[in-house]
Parts: sequence; structure tokens; C-alpha cells
Amino acid sequence: MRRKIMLSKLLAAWVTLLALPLCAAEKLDTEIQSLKKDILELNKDMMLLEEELLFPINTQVTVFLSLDVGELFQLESVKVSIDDKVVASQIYEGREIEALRRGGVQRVYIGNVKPGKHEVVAVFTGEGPHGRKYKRATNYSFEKPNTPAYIELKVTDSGSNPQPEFLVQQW
Amino acid sequence: MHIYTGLRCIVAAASWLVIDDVHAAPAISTGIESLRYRQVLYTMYQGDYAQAQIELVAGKERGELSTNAETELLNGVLLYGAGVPEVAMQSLLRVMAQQDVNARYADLAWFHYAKAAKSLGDLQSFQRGLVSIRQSLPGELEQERRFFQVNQLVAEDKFDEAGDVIDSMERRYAWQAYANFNRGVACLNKKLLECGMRAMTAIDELPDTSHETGALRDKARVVLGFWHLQQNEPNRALHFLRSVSLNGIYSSKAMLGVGWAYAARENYTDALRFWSELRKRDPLDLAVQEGLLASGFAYNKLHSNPLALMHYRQAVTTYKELQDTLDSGLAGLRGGETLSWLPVSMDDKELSVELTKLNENAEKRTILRVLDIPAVREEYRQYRDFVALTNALQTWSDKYTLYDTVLDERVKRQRERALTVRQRVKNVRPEWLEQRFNVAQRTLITSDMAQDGLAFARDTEVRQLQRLQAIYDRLARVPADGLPPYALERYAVLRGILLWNIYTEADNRRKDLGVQLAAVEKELLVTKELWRRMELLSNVDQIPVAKLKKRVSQIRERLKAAAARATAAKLALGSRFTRQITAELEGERQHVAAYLAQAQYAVARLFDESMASGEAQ
Repeated sequence: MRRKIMLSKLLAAWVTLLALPLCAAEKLDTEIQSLKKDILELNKDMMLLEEELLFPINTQVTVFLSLDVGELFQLESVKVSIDDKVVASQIYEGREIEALRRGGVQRVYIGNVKPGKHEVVAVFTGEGPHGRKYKRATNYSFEKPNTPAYIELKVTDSGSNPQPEFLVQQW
Repeated sequence: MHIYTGLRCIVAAASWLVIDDVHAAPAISTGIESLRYRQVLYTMYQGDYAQAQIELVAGKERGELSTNAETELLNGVLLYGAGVPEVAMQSLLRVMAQQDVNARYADLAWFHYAKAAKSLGDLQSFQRGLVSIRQSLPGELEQERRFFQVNQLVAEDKFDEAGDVIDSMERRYAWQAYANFNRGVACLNKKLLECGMRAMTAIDELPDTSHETGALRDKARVVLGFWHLQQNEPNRALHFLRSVSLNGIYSSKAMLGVGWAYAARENYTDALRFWSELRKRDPLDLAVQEGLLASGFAYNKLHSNPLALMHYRQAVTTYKELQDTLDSGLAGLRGGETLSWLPVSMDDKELSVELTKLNENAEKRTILRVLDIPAVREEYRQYRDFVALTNALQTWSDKYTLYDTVLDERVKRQRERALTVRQRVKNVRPEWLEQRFNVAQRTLITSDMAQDGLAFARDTEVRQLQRLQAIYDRLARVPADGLPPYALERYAVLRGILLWNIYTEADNRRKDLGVQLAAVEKELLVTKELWRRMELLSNVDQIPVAKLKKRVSQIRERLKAAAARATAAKLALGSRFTRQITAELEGERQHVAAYLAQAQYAVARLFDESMASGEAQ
């Protein structure tokens, strides 16, 4: 009987020993999940706080870029100026273009301007119809309210002629 | 056993396609909400799921994105992509919990729920997710769902039903090929030859459309070839093995098999052709290691014992060198040095370049080879992820110490601006301007109402009129005979001239007053604005500095805590990763030891035989 108890104790000890690394691995995986979740949350709070600190809503201006179809124009780069000052420039490669083509919108710039009248100028370069090098600029005057201003630069294919169109819209 | 592990990376790689299909045309299509939603998609399409998820939740907190089935579904998908499947499952369950949720969204949510559960090894929830899907899923997702269904049926030994599902799958997607492969391997393991052959042959006939399908086809051919070798059907084995691409990752294994197929036909000369070619390859490859022994075996069969002895001896030398290399690799792992030289870049291109450089060193190459094993690769990715995370947390912490300075600077600048504005307005008060404006306005209104030009008389003219009135009053008191000649007439003429001037100028003066009024009004507005700004700027409390500083400090504390946890997790992951590589290398060392023993035995045997026949030199 005593031997049997001894044996069962030994067996239990073995089972515990065997299970230990598994438990540790599970614990680590759980900790990793929990940490990743907390970091996502932390990142989000940081993002919002940084926006508040660096871009107060009364001066905040954001410029977005979108491609609608984009068959007639292969976007290569864009340079954005506000009130004659270059604020953003971007060169596009495969992955970014693909993301734009699939309906994504890129935030090209976020910054501050005083409430009142301003002008945004965007210079697009790329390949136009028939593989020709293409450079086009578009300007847009906008009134910055006391709330955030959202400007969307849109590259679209013109419906009437086989030329790309560069539009600007304030939201 | 390798069926599922081999597919993990493929499933992961395909997850972005899944999302693409779901969100290619977002239902949200108005203004800021659409911009913000598509901004999330842009980030996601570039594979940065964590950042996309942060943008999505931040958008919701800003009130720019609504909480609805679509955003909740996207959130779940992003959380899964960001490596938190458990939280993803909770988010996806919220989609299903919404009242009157669109059936399409519910199906998609169940599908992603199943995938997240699968990554956690939670098979019960995985099955629950799959069976809850009511309709066909859009595009490639449906093919992936059927792939899961096939695996499920195969696991339950329902090979015929699995075959029916495979037949219903679209050939243009790789899912059908993977499903066939899994079914084929399972059938062959169960000795169900016809079922296995049918599945594998389907892969063998795949067109070489991509690197992925090409590799799978090669893998299937190797499986088929070795299966036929086991069944002692060398001709059929040769058919499959010789079709394996020479540049592919299965070429060494195929060359080894081809050699064995010729050997089975007792054509050792041709077998040696392939095994000799194999000997030129990296000895860390298991097929090459076996090839070393096989060459000796073939020469032995060709009764060329000196050559056989020479090859076995070369094999012994190579195995011993391999053992030394593996031992150094193991020592590096146990001493903790490996993690110090292993590249940790999160950029795939950069990592690939860095890893290629390590290929020049035999000891490091042993580790690199192990990194090709999917499970090890996944652990390596996780480890690199945490190295990057701990570095990022450190950078963020440093940045957050600067934010107090940013806030202090902002307050300082605000005070300076207030001073400047105060200087500008110190001599102009809005109430003075307001008084001027009110007087002028009153004049205009009074004259307009009275229709009287006298209201526009200048002060001198008013005084002249008053003097004339005083003269008249005095004249009126003088008796008529005492009046100077023409006194009243002169008075009347002077008054007439004065009034004539006043009335003729009245219109112009009215206009001038209007212009002045507008100027004063404008000045008043500007001054008022300046005063408002001055008051605003003077009131530093307008910037909630204390509140923001508190938030900065809270985040700093959270960053510190997260950095400590991440460092601990990184160390634990590093150690788990090291143990995993160690186990793999020890396994390889055992293999090499077994080959070494065989080679040494063969050398001894041949030496004895040679001694006996007098051939030994």
C-alpha cells in the first residue's frame, strides 16, 4: 500500500515536472498577448496626446491624398506647400501606390496654420498617358476655421478626355 | 505532422488578401469619416496592422469614426494581424452581438474569429466559427474557408468528403493545391494509395504559375517519389523525382531519391552520378549527408572497395567536421552569444541581406538553416518583434521627457505673445472707440430722422450760428428806431449765408461721417479682437497645462512599466527561442552522429574485407 502511495506521488511529481515547461510557455504567451494589447492601447493614447500637444484643434490642418482609378497617371511623387512653404514631399513606390489604388487614403501632412485664408499647392510628378513624363501643379485657397481643417488631394481619371485630373477638396 | 506547420506562414501571408476582399469598397462614404477609414486601410494595406488598429481606435475616440459592424469587424481583423488574436476574438464577437447585424458581416466576423482561434490552438472556437458561417464568403476567403473545411475532414479521416470539397474549390487559387497536398499526405500515411495518388497527381499537374505553387508541386513530387521508392517502384519514383526543379529547395532531396531509384534498379553508376553531384552541396543539408553514405554504398555495390573506402572515409571526415560545427553552434547558443550576432531587423529586405552575409560562416550557417523551419522562424519573428518593441519603448520614453519642456515652452511663448499684443493695444481701449462710434452713429440717426442738415454743422458753424442768435436777441431788445441801419437785414443775410453753406455741405458731410463711422467700426472690431486675444493669451489656464502634464506623466509611467515588462518578455522569448534552436541543432547532431557511426562501421568493415583480400593500402 505504502509502495503504491509512493509510486503515485512519484508519478504526480513527474506529471508536474513535465507540465512545468508547458505552463511557463503558456504563461509567456499570455503575457506577450497582454503586453501587446496594452502597448496598442498605450500607443493610441500617445497618438491622441501628441496630436493635442503638437497640433491644437484651432490650428490643425491635415492634407490627405487619394487616387481614384489612376489608370491615366502613375504617381511617382508629390510635393505639398502651404502658403509658399514646402510642408511635405513623398516619393511613391510599389506598396504605397498599391495601397492607394485599393482605396486607401494617405495622410500626407499634419501641421498648424492660423485661422484665416491660406493657399495649398500640390505638385504631382509621374507618368501620364502614353508613358509621357508628367508634372502638374494644383492650387487651392482655403479658409482655416477654428476647428481642424481637412484638405483632400485627389488624383482622378477625367471622364471626358484621356487625361488625369488633380482635384482639391476641403472637408 | 508538417502539414499544418508548413501552412502557417501561407495562412499568415494570405491574411492581407482576406482583408482586401472585405474592405475594398468601404460602406462608409462620407467626408471625414471616409477619409479616416480609408487612412486606416492605407496603413493596413502596407502590412502595418498595429498602426492601422491604433488609427482606427484613435479615430473612434476623436469621434470621427463610428462604432458599427464594419469598423468593429475591421478592428478584429487588425487586432489579429497585430498579434493579439484573443482580443481580436472579443472584438469579432461584438460584431455578432450587434442587433440586426448584416449577414455578410456576421459571416466574415465568424471566419476571422475562427482564424484567430486557430492561431491560439483553440480548436473548439475554430470549429464554432467555421460552422457559424451561413453563406459563401467573398472572393478568395471562400477558398480559404473550404481549405479549413478540408483539413477538418482529413483530420476526421473523411477523405471522400474532403475530396468533394476540394473538387468544389477554384483552381486559380493556391488553396486547392494546399488542400490536395494535405489530403494526399494523410491518405498516403493511411496507406490509401488511390486517394493519395489522386490528390498528389492533381498537384503534380499544376501549371508553374508562381514560385509558391512551383515549390508545392516539387514537394508533392518528392513525396510521391519517396512513396514509390518505399513501394519498391523505382521507375514510377524516377518519373516524379526527375521532374523536381533543379533550383528549388527540394532539389537535393530529389537528387538523393533519384540515386536511390537507380540503386533500386541496381544501376549504381547512374545513382553515383546524382550522389556525386549531391556531394558538392552544403553538407548541412540532410539529403547531402545521406548522399555521402550512399556514394560509399554504391561503390561498394560496384565492387570498387578502395573507392568505397575512400568515400566512407571522406564521409567520416565531413561528419566529424559537421559535428564540430554543430558543437560550436550549440556552445554559442548555450553561452548566449548567438543572440548577440543574430540580426534583429524588422524590415524583411534588410533582414534578408543581413542573414545572407552570415552564410559565409559555417557555424552561423547551422543556425540560419534552423531558422528556415516554420516554427523556429515564427519564434524568431516574435523575438525580433520584442527587440524592436523594447527599443521603441525606450525611444518613446525619451521623447516623453521632452513633452514637459514642450508644454513649458508653449506657455512661455503664449506669455510673450500676450505682452506683444498688450503693447499694441495699450493706447487704444475698445470703450473709447465704442464711444466715438456711438456719437457718430447717433448723429447720423438723428439727422436722418429729423431730415435736418443742421445736424452736420461743424463746431465753428454751430458757434457762428449761436453768435448770430445772440446778436439777434440783442437786436430784438433794441427799439426799432434805435437800430442801426440795415442791422436786421445784415443779420438775415449772414444767417442765410451760414445756413446755405451748412445745408449745401450736409450731403457731403453725411457721406464723410458714414465713411468715418465705418472706419471707426473696423478699428473697433480690430481692437476688440486684439483685446480678446490679449485676455486669452494672458490667461495661461486656457491651455490645460496641468491636465496635459498629468497625462504626459501618466503615459511616461505606463511606458516605463511596459518597457520593464517588454524587456522581461524579450529575455524570456530569447531564451525560449534559443532552447528551440538548441533542440533542433541537437537533433541534427544526433542525425550526424548516426551517419558517422554508420560510416565508421562501413570503413571498419571494408578495411577488414580489404585486409582479408590483401587490397588494403
